[in-house]
Amino acid sequence: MEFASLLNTFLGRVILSVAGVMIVFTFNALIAVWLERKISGHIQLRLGPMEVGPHGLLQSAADGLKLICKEIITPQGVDKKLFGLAPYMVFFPSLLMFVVIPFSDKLQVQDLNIGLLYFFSISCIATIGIFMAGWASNNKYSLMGAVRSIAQSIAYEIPIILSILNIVIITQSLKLSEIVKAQSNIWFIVPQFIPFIIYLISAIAELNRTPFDIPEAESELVAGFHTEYSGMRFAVFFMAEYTNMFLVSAMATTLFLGGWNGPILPPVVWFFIKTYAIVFIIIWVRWTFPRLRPDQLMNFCWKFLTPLALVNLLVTTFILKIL
Amino acid sequence: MKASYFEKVGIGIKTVVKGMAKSLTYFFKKPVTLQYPHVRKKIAERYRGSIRLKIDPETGKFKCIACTNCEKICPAFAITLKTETPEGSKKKELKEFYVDLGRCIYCGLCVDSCPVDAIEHSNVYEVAERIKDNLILRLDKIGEKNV
Repeated sequence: MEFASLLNTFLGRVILSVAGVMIVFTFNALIAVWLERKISGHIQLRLGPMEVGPHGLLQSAADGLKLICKEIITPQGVDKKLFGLAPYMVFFPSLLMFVVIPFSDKLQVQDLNIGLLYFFSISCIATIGIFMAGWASNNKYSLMGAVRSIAQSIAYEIPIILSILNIVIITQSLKLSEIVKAQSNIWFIVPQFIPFIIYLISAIAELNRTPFDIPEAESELVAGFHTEYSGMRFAVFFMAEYTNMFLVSAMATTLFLGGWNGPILPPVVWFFIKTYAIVFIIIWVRWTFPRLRPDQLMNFCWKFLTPLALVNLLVTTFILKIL
Repeated sequence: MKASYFEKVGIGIKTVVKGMAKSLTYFFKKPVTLQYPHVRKKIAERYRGSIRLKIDPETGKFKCIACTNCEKICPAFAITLKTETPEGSKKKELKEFYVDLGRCIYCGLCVDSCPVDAIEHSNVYEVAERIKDNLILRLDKIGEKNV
């Protein structure tokens, strides 16, 4: 069967999409972890990994191989079914979220007309996986981490949605390809700079990354919800975390940085450049700030981000009504 | 007076920007890490590495006169000399010169106390061994380790 005709069949599309998503997923998991270690190293005047491959590029692959080779340990007293299922409950939503990401004008698995809604509802499923992991582990640190993660997710979901609503109101669409097309003249980061910042901060909180990493605070909770996990199950959690980082950055690119719009270079290249620029910012933030206390975290969300997002939404609607 | 809500927000933004700028400047600075086995730091001229015996360039023999000053002064008892007096001669001669690097504290007293300037510090500092006995070096044989 020819490649073009394969694209037209449903099964062909599914197979190609899964293959494509897996390639991007693997590539990103390797590159993002390497980037994180390199950038953190250079911020602390170190070099980061240097030995495996040129400038340590293959370090993540070596680490992955090591984790695959390790024995899968199920501790005593855990809820075995939930314990085994939890990593995949965190992992599969991040694969599903790839479906609506518009890598270019043609390269998109499925251009859903509720793409934005789909993306953010699927992202919430991962929280269930985190709670399953925390609960099934039969460990006080895991449970504390899971509880904190849920509290944080619920709190920061609100500013995220409020900041995105601005874009939806402007474009009158939840379809991601249309949102990107609406930015062909001016990126939404220019008129909507404050929502961009709110989105970025809340996204870092949703990712459970420093400075909002209270669910896995090393110095308090050992490793939070994945304390009891090792080997490949831990690797799945770890990969999901870095995939989510990529997805959140990809969504920021789509909504605020004009998606695949850009001169000269092909659209896909532009998309990846912008996405990894956001990934860089997220990593940069992580290695700059210390962890917030849980009460500070909640105060910051409810007393600052949510009111600001609401005011911004009000101003946006007001201006659009007048124009 | 406690800062008001908006003042707090202002302070927050200011410190966030300041912190981010600081870490970015560090990101572009040259790392201080040396890739140790591949790159080595330059050793200072007077670095007190493990000791070695000097050779007299005129005679091609060791300068050591076997006075055992170094053995006597060594605070860690790291140096052991074996001497002998050949028949028909009044001068002692050096037979064997041992230094135990496991005991040596690299104080340099042996170098200072030598009346004929026969001992010097080398710049060797990687002397780790798997077997303790390998740390005992015989210095009066050319071709032995660290000589």
